[in-house]
Amino acid sequence: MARPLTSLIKRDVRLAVRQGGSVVQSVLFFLMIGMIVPFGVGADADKLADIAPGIIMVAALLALLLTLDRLFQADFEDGSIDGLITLGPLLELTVLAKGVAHWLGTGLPLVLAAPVMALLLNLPLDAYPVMVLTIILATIGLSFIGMIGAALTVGIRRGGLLLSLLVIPLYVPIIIFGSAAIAVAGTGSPDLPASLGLLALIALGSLVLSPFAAAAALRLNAA
Amino acid sequence: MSPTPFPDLSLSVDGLCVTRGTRTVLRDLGFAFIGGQAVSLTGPNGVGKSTLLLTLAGLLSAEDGAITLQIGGQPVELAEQCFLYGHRLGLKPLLTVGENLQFWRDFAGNGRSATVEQALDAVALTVLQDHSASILSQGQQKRLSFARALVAPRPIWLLDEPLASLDGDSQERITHLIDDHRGRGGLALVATHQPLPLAGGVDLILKRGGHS
Repeated sequence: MARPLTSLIKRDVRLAVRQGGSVVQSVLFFLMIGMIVPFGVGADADKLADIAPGIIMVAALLALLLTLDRLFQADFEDGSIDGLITLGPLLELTVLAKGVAHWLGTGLPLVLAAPVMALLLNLPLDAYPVMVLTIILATIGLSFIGMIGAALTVGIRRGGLLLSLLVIPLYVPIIIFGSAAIAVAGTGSPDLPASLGLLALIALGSLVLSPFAAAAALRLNAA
Repeated sequence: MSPTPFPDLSLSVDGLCVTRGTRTVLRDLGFAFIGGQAVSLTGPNGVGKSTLLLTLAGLLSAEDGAITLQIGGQPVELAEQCFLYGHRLGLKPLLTVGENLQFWRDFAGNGRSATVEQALDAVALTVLQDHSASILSQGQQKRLSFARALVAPRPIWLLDEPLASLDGDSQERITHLIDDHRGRGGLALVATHQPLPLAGGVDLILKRGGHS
């Protein structure tokens, strides 16, 4: 049972790496949002530190959103999806593997880039560990909830915008709890475990439930 | 190739109706085939040949009708026993020829799987194994896509125009593979406009407004 799924994850990560630097591009996009914000709000270090949690979360959302439309689209266009559905194990498991690969190819690089982003926005140093944990949980939620939207819009040419309209409302709780967790990190606030806990709940819940929804959507769009 | 024969299989379809959009493409279609047969599925463009293959593969859902597959006397889910080869080839240009096949072998292989080397040899692509799939010609891509049938063996082959845009040698190779497949007790349904050069092939002719 494991080999089909690991081979699919391996293939997708390999494709992401070979895709002319798509991994690098989404990381650069993420960091550029951090670079451009001071031009808009001014270079007041305290002000930047205040808004840093929200900016980091929104930047992660946008960077990940840009990669979502390719999640199933590439397999759909070249016909791999037919084989993934008919030859593979349970489609829900295949879709789970696709989601894991998507997170490895986009979420994980954002996690690694997050400290640089935090530096750009003058986030207090003692908030870094919580910030990294938050980004890990948030990107898992973003990838797996986004996967449902990607599966629903897979048959639509230029479906990227519709996909954004579908999933951004679903991302609201991730932004709220993620920003809240980073904002109170390092202050010893009792709100921290609650925010992180809810974020973890969203991440795990989407990991478990969204493969069912995405697989159902893919079956509808299959041919 | 693995000579292990497939267990006895029989596929029967009864009263099949399939609608695409608002148009009923297949109406009250029925047939029965057994393992070891190669069926040429013919008929004019748009009569529903591809639709039938996609429906059997489970990618389209039937409005009405029963599809029954028995393998070794046991009823089994048809979609899981099918290899579908169609107009979309399922290849990744960013992977090498060998990597493409290796993926399908790892993802969907079983005890009967040919090795990547054997499969490439069968479609005469061995020399291109380490080259990017993006440099393949149309015909080479089709052969590589077909080779997936050997690394991910399934008893029922649903082939949509497997001989189109292939040169004489390649047509012969593919025909030979189809012949091998039925020799092992597999069933091949082949949508085609050119008669399959196979002795003892069966015909299923789709006609507008009715079938025979």
